[in-house]
Order: sequence, then structure tokens, then C-alpha cells
Amino acid sequence: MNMDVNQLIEDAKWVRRQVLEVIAGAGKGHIGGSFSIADILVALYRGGGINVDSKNPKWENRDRLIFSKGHSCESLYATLCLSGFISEPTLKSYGKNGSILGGHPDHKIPGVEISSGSLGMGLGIASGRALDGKMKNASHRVVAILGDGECYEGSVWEAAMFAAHHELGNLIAIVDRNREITLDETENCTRLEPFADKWKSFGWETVNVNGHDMKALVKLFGELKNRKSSKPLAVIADTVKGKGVSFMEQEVGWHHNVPKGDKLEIARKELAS
Amino acid sequence: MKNTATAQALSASVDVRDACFDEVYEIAKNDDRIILLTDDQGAFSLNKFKTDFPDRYINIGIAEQNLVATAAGLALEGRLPVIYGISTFMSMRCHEQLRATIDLMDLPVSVVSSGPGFTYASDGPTHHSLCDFALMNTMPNFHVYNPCDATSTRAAIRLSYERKKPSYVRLEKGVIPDHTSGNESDLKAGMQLVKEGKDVLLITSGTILNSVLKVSAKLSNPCDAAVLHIFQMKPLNTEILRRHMIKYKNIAVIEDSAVTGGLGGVIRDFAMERFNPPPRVLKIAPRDVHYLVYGDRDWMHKQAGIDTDTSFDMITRWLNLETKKVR
Repeated sequence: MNMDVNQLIEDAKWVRRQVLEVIAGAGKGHIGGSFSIADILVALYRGGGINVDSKNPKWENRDRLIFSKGHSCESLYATLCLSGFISEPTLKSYGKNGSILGGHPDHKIPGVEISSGSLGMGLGIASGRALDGKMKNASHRVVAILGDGECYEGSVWEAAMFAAHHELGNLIAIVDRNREITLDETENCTRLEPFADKWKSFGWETVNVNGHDMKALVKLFGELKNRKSSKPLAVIADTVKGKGVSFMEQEVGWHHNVPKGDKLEIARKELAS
Repeated sequence: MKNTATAQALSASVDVRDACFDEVYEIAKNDDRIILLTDDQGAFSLNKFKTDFPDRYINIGIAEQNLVATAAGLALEGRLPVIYGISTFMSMRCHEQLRATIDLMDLPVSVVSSGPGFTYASDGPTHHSLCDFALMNTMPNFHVYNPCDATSTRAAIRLSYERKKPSYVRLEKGVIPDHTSGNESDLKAGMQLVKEGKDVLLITSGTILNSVLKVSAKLSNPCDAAVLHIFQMKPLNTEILRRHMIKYKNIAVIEDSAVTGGLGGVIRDFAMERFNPPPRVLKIAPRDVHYLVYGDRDWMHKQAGIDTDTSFDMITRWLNLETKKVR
């Protein structure tokens, strides 16, 4: 695990470059959300934010990372590759016939805890796993990664109520608050704000973080390792959909658009620097 | 095979719900991985479970999607969840959760689905569970059990536990005559010939068996009707089913699941695929309508055309039988 922030910044750039190439090569994928979550994933896996072991993906005491926003899997795959869970040839097989890496992750991929892709289910699964951990007085935590658009799903709030009621202080939800869905900005579609207040009213603690400030992410995730609370925690990570590529940032339309031609070259150049 | 005609059936004194949860209790006593979750659906016989295993009983409230997702999470940590709720909601409200979590990840969760068919007849169409079989039949990994009495209810729970994979058990209510032989071979076969007969085969599943046995009795002069009860609706033991069906040119399927996607269609498909020439298959099932009328289950069966008398009339017309209608 590498705590050097500069190295982690480089790791995140590497992840974004891989995401770009696999999506461009496959001609499909969810690039915007993969870019917005990249720094967070690197801070978790490479910056010591979660305890996992690539040599033993099912290690009993590992933290369970529940990747609920499954469509951003390209970033997850690249991070898992960088962390030693899957090989580079496997990563590069994304999009090819017979690859184990699909457009949404499944539970058979080393390092992936659940099959996801249908939004709104991961927090409930995470709550069940956190409840089990609490019942066993286990030391591991459960960390669920959600999209903000995913929080339109009522099942998220069913789980939120449950987690607070059962005082699952070992549960953390990190919400990728990039403020965009496929067709629109979240606040134009159905307002999520006041977002933190919603979580608080459901009985959660909340903390905001800049989802692209690696130093702040590493600091926060480090502090959270010693967190003792009876309340679950929502980390609202302010992010930018398409982060890292100028023409994608804060432009609705890059949820699952694929850069080609000139745009692909511009993206490559920007992610190389 | 030994003839276990209706007249020889034993009367059970146990409500099938008690049988179900007594069996869950017995299993839980010896296996602390069992954890029971419900969407605020109670049962008298659950009280003992709640009292003796309070940390393994969770009322999640009226939140079926979370019920299933939470159960999936618990199963992923090595527990054996039993989830319990009303059949329409358990099969429809959280259908996608069942498919995308429990079925997809092949998790050891037993779904106890209370009130199949017209069990909750007077509660209206939101509680008429007529398509749960059709929905669950599309799930690749789920086994579907449809017990007809206390003995087969216990067996369904036990088989679900032993299998450690997704299971769906349709749970009736009330004290129902016991017809299940309890023979290991019948349980493994997933079906039981409850009454022998040489002229026509009546196939059914679940507690409507009792009405079907009456149909068989009414048909007895001049038609000798066998009755086959299918306890494990999915997957069907096609080899055993084939051995039963091969003896008949005429087969009627009487069920409380809607005609589209019901057992009748499954049997008819099987007949067409596996036999040449295929036997005729008559489907007696509720139509695809909302039954916006209210009454008890027996009365509702009449409205839906699956009661004893209507089934008898349909079969006699279908077979061109000249009979005296015995009322």
C-alpha cells in the first residue's frame, strides 16, 4: 500500500488512462462515472483506505468493498489490476468476447464482492454484511460505493433506514456526488439537495470531501479506520463526471458516450500529462 | 405403486404455517447460521423462534427490496437466511432483487412465500398470488416448492435448508388433510401419485390437491382418474414425470396459478416435446384477469373456474363423457 500522495495521483492517472483505452477499444463503457470515482478507488485500494489482500481476496478480516454503482466498473477493474487482483492481460480483455470483465462487475471476478449493475441494491447488501459483522463483533468494515443518481432508488433509503436503526457504525457509504445522470444534471431532474441533510435525517453521520483531492481523501480514509460510532457514515464525495478530460468535465452526455477520433487523441494527451 | 386414495388420507391437526416454522425452529436450534427476516408478516408459531433466538429474528418492516438485499448480504457472510412475507409482495415487489442478488449469486436463502393462489381471497387482487410461479419459474437457480400439507411443508423447508441454494416455498395456511407419503423416493422425485387411475391423469400442485381428489372421486363413474401431485414445481423431475404421463392420452392440469405461465403450460410444453404423439393436455387455471370480487377461497375458486364442480364439468365435456352429475 503506497501512502505517497504524489504516487497515488500518478496511480489515478494510470487508472484513467486504462479506463480510456479499454472503453475506446471496446467501443462501450461508462466513462464519465468511471473518471469521477477513480481517485476515490485509488485512495481506498492503494492509499490504505481499506484493508484488503490481493493474494487472498476472500481473507476473512478484509474490509468488504461493495461496488454498488456497477456501471463505473472500468475504474474498479483498473484499480484491481494496479492492486494485484487481476492481471494486465485480463484488464485489457475488457470488451472482448469471453472476457471475465463485463460492462458491469460480477462476484466471480477476484476482488469483487458482489454482482452489481442494477442500481439501488448495493447498500442493502452492504447493510446485511455490516449487520453480520456487528453480530460477530468483527473488526472489518463494509464500504459501499454509490452513485448520487443511484440515490433516486427507494431501496437505497430502505437500506439507509435499516442501517441507522441497527446502529451499523461499521458501515460507510461513499457517494460519488458528480451531480449528473445520463440525460441531465441531478438537480434539474429531481433535486437531491439538501443531500447531506437527507442522510442525517435518516440517522447517518455525514462528511463531505473533495473527491479529487488525493491528500484529503487519504487523510479522511486514514481517520475513518479508527472511527468508532454507532451511526453509519455517508461520505459525500464532491466529484466531477468525466474528471481528467476537459471536454467531458461537467458536460452532460459522457455517461456512456465513447470518445473517438480527435476527441480520443485529446483525451489521451490530457491524461498523459 | 401403493394406492394412497383420498379415503385413506390422514387428517392433520397441524396448521401448515406451524409446520413450516416449527421445522425452521428445529433447524435453527442446531444451526446458528439460520436467521429469519420478515417484512412485518407474523405467524403464531414464529413466536417461539422470536423468543428463543431473538438475535436471529429481524422484522425489517414493509420493505421487501431491502428484505431481500439484506438477506443476500447476510448469506454472503455465511448465514442461512429464511425470509418470509406475503406471496404477491415476495414474488413481485422485490422480484428484481431476488433475481439480481440471491439468484444471480446463487445464495443459500429460503424464501417463504405466504398466501399462494387465492389464500387471501377476500383481500382483493393485490393479494391474489396468481403469477408467482410464472415469475419464479424464470429464475435459473431457484427451486420452487409447492407443498400440499403439513408433511410436505416440513419437507420443503428441510430440502431448502439442505440444498443451501435459492429456494422458494409457497406456504398456505390452515389445517389441511395430509396426503404426502413421506417416502424419501417421492420427495426426491418431487412428485407423488396420490391416487392411481387408468383413464385420465389429473396433475396438480399445492393444497388445491384436495379439490382435485374430489374431482377424481366425482369422475369415478365412468372414468378412473389418477391424481399426481407435484411438490417440486421447479425444476421438474422430467424423467419421473415422463414415466407418469406416458400412460395417458388425456391429462388435465388443475392449478391456482394463472393460466399464462402456469404449471399447465409447462406440462403441455413437456408433452409436446417428449411424446409422439403427445397426450392432450387440458389447462384448468384462473384466467389472466383481476378478480375484483370478494369472498372466501372456495368461493373464489368457483369465480376463477378451478373449483371441484367446474373442473369436473370441464373435464367431462373435454372427454365427451356421459355422466350423471352427482352434486
